[in-house]
Amino acid sequence: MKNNSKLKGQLKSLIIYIGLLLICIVFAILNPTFISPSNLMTILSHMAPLALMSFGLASVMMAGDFDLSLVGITGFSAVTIIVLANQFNLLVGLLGGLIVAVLVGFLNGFFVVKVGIHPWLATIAMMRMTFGLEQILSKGYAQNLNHPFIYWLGHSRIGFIPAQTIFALLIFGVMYVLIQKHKFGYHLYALGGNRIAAQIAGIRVQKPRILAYMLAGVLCFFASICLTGTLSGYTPLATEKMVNDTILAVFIGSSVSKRKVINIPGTFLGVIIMGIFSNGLALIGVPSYWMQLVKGILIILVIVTSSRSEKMVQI
Amino acid sequence: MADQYILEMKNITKLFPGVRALDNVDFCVKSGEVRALVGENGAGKSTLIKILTGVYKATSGSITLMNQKIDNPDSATIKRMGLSCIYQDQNFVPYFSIAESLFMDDLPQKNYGLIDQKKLFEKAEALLKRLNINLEPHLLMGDLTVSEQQLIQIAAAVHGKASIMLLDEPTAPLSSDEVERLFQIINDLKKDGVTIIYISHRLEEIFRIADTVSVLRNGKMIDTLNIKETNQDEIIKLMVGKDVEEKYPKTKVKIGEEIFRIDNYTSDKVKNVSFDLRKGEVFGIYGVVGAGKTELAKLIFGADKKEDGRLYIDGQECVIESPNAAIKKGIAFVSEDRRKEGLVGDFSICRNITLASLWKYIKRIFINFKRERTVSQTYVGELNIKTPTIETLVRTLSGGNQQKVILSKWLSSDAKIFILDQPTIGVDVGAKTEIYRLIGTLVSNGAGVIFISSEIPEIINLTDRVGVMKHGEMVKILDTKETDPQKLLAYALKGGEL
Repeated sequence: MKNNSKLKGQLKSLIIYIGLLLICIVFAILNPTFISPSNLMTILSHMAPLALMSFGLASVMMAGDFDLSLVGITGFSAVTIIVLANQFNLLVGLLGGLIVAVLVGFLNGFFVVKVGIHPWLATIAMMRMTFGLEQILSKGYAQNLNHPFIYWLGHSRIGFIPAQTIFALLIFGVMYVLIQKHKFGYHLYALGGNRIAAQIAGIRVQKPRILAYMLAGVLCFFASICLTGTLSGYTPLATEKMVNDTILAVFIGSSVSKRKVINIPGTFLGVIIMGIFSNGLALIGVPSYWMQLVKGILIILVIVTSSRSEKMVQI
Repeated sequence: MADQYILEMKNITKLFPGVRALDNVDFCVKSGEVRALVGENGAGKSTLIKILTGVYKATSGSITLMNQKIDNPDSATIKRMGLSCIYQDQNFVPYFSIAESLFMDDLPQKNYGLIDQKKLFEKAEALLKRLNINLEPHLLMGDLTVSEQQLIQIAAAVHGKASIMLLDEPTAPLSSDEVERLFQIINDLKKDGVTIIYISHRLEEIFRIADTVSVLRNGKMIDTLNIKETNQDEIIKLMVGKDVEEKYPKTKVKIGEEIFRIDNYTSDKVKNVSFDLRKGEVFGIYGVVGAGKTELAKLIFGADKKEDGRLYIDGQECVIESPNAAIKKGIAFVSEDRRKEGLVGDFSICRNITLASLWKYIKRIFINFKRERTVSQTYVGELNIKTPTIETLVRTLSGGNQQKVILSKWLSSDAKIFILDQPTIGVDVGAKTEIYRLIGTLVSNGAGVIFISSEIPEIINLTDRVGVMKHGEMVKILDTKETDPQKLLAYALKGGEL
């Protein structure tokens, strides 16, 4: 009897994975292309930018803040890289992209933490500004970038795994350690959980939050490199529609965690789920009118099942 | 060294919009002493402390800590200088484990700032063991009871090497044996030369552990006395500004017929509890923390799942499976955790008062705001709730005033059966008396009151009968007139027959 309930508990904790597997099987039956190696690799490589931005959003949200401007930072950084790389060289481009991404991240942190503007307001304004800068810089035209390294990152594989997926996995590893194992992440959790308690314990209230915004900026810079690779350039406003997906990935991540907190592995799982849904639904030929509805239903299902089962991510 | 001031707060004034919260207050504490700080709710104790710890900024005045002048105190600096605080508010991260909460300020680290989980748990276990706290370090704070959370917060402040420790109402959620444990901890700290600032409404405690006591009233420092040269009555007089005629006013009411009865009420935490309540009666429920008092109250109110048992109101059997059903049957419940379960902090006083009976103010589909306001205004006046207006947000009120808002809420709801779970926790002397008087008003209006408390004087002085609980069982029902504190405690600790 006791064993039985234990088994039940374990099954319950696996339910989201089982569900995901079932959905994949349905996708595969309806369109066998779905499980073809090349399609799986496409899913993986498309996930990289979303994953990187979601990690950034997760770090900001853990500290009790919010950032809607990340998609804008990514686009702005991508255009900056391309314009500077075409004018000078790739190194200047990358440096420029990194600087603008970190700078915008810092400004977000400054306005939210120092000036005290509500995170939604400050970062929506920043999203507008970055999208604006991106269009001004590109004059609204698609930008091309021909550089062997960028092309390699976007199109080649290491073994059978896309290069940018490897890149995203590396960043995942760093973020996992930084957020789940390092003092920094612990401070963010404390600040998000109870700011006064954190303050009383002598944790600085402002610095880690500003750093989280800047870290999110750095991650957007990484995302912009991946995106530039995939597109061999950048189309203005290409990231605009990703904002919902980043938020969803983070929330799915917190709903699958044991303590119900925002966390990095959970966010990664969320990104994978979003990637599989988008790709699978397109492949099985869901009419485009129906796409949004079906995706919405699937997301609700994921969150309901995951919040009812326990211990999926041990954080 | 012994006679030096370790903390000097001079001429502190704090203005809030419309209120002079502190008026030229001096507060100086000598190294190594245990200083009690008392005052009614709203006297300015919390404001003074929050200025010291940098949560508020003083309008004027100076602070010197360990001979260093501090212009802009902030919590981190103060803490590093060796002042550690335990607040009465719930200041913890609900999703942190006990271990993480204990060492929030100085996590054991490996290289590069990585957290040493193994060492963290070892240190936590050692600390818990040293302080005799019987809890697993991996439990999450949010899953603990209020008193356990408080113990962990105390433990967290103790582990650091503080030279001044500030305790704001630390015993409010603790049971008497936990209080003893805390006093043991304080005595040990005192032996190590730690200076202690102790804020409490419980004067008995102050006389047990403090060396000196400072009294605040209406934002002014009234006096600082040596504890050996004063007594409780004098302090109360200083706090209130006048003599308190009676500490436990009990209204004489003729007790009528039975209005409420439960038979064999059982849940996973409550076992076979039966008792009845009569019209005009105050039925006390006494027990140490963890005896299942609150669990019983929640079970009756339909907030917990019942496994067995029957409930009768006015002799008729009722099924109560949700708080909503309980309210409809005329049962009111004042929760022990008022911040979490009793109030909507971001609602105005007015809206909180009418929350449980809003339907009475609805005409067709609109809320009759004018009537809502009139009724709320009446209660604010009658219960002497200290507030600028009835539109003030409830979370900004002091503990005693919040409690009065909760009571108003139920008073306006036509309830006949009142379950009051520790209604005087964290409430000052003056407000306590007003709450006791209110209980008198309730029963003289024909209601019945179930009064839950772990403070024996309240039980002895206010109730007509008392049920003693232990481990979820009601081990004995006594006539209050025929019992005494020793007997009550004996039943609560030993249970059954003596």
